[in-house]
Amino acid sequence: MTILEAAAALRAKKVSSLELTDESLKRIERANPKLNAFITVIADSARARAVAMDAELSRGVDRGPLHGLPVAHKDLMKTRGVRTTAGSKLFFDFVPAEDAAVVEKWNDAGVVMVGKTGLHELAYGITSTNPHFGAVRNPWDTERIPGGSSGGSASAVAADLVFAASGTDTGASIRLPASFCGVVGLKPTYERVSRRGVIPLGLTLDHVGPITRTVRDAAVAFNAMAAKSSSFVPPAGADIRGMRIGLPQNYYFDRLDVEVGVAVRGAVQTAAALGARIVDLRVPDIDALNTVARVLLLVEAVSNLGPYLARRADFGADVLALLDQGRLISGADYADAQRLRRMFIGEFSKLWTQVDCVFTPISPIPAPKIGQTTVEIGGAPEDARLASTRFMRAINALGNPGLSLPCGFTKSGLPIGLQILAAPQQEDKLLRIGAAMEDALALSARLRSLPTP
Amino acid sequence: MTDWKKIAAALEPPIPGPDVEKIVPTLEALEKAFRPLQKTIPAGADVWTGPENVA
Repeated sequence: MTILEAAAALRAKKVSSLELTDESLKRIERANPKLNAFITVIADSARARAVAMDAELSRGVDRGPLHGLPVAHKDLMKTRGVRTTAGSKLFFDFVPAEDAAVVEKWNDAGVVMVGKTGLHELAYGITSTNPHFGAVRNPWDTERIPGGSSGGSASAVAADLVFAASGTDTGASIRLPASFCGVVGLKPTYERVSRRGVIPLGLTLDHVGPITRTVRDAAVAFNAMAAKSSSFVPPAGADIRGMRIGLPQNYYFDRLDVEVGVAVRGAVQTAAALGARIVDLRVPDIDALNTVARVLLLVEAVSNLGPYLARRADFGADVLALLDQGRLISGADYADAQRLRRMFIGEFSKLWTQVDCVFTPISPIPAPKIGQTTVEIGGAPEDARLASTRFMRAINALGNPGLSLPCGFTKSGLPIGLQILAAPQQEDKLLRIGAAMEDALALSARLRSLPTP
Repeated sequence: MTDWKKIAAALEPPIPGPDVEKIVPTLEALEKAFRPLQKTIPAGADVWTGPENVA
């Protein structure tokens, strides 16, 4: 069931919030030993909250489409009275006294939080293979990573354990796991969703957004968390005739897995068949902007986590190596990276006068295996982390919104993701195009065929 | 090129030698990509300070 289907069923009294919550908890109990998607499950308080939400609805108090639906929060969001680990030993026993803004917003919308999802340690990586809490697994192939850092959120939504989950994205961390797990992830415009109460990684790069099973569900979940809210949900038969879709002629299709290229180009053809106008364009130097974004993140992360570095043994090796790198970069280099960032934003702003959105692959590869540190693309080995994120990292420095949605499968049955980018604050346009693509690509039956493990 | 090992040894607390060895190749590659970009920054170019502060 999607959010919109469940919301309709609740109001038609075909199901109650308590029944939906019990079903969610039952699925988590069954699937979590295999997926490790949750670090914490709060069954009793979730049931109590569901009863309260049912009572509200019966009194005629209706908070909107998320009212009474079971959801999860990435364990990076502070939750009052519920342990918040950030996937780290540093926060192993941390129980916040207040909720993050995104938790407050979803609570106001009537959600039932059933638990906190697993993630890459401190949200600083893309595998979600966590040295302290174990590897989160991809429901399409449990020997593969779900992506990260919001891997537990994507895995839980894909396996139909919850209707939606929150995520954060500092370089790919909503969009990549959404893609690897065959669900939808929205990285909104920078600061469109408040970062208050989210344990920070990169202060000028962190974005908060939703992970859901459909684009329309993403719209509902985003509207409920956005600081400046919209009520837009793409209508049935969303029309994209005449919309200008940019197709990069450089960079994004240069080095990628053949099956990924075929699926994404197929999506472009689908958009054209819907009446969109495909505009060939050249994008600014993405490799250069990725470099800038890496310098920014290395320094910002150590600025946040540096005070804990006396406890070196409490960090996983990959995160520690990144923090050590950040300590060695100078303040002058960081300031120059922020100068370059501003120059790139200026360059990109010209692009948004030519097109309504840009289509790219999310990642050059489908989900790698757990423990795989290098991947082979076109016969050449690449670092799995840098390869997986190279179509996304730059976008965090720009602050533009980006949508990740499934656009196909590999022959071996792994989902492939399409990235749709738009100008800042253009989430509604992005969601409209995404919904039209989702309808036309008609993958929902196969995506929903994934059995709960 | 920057002497990363020398900087690492001067930090407080210092980064242990074997850990520095592991990250030097990555930092060297990053520096190789970043230094040419720095040369493209015009004199007096402003830094990014937020979404409203664009070039």
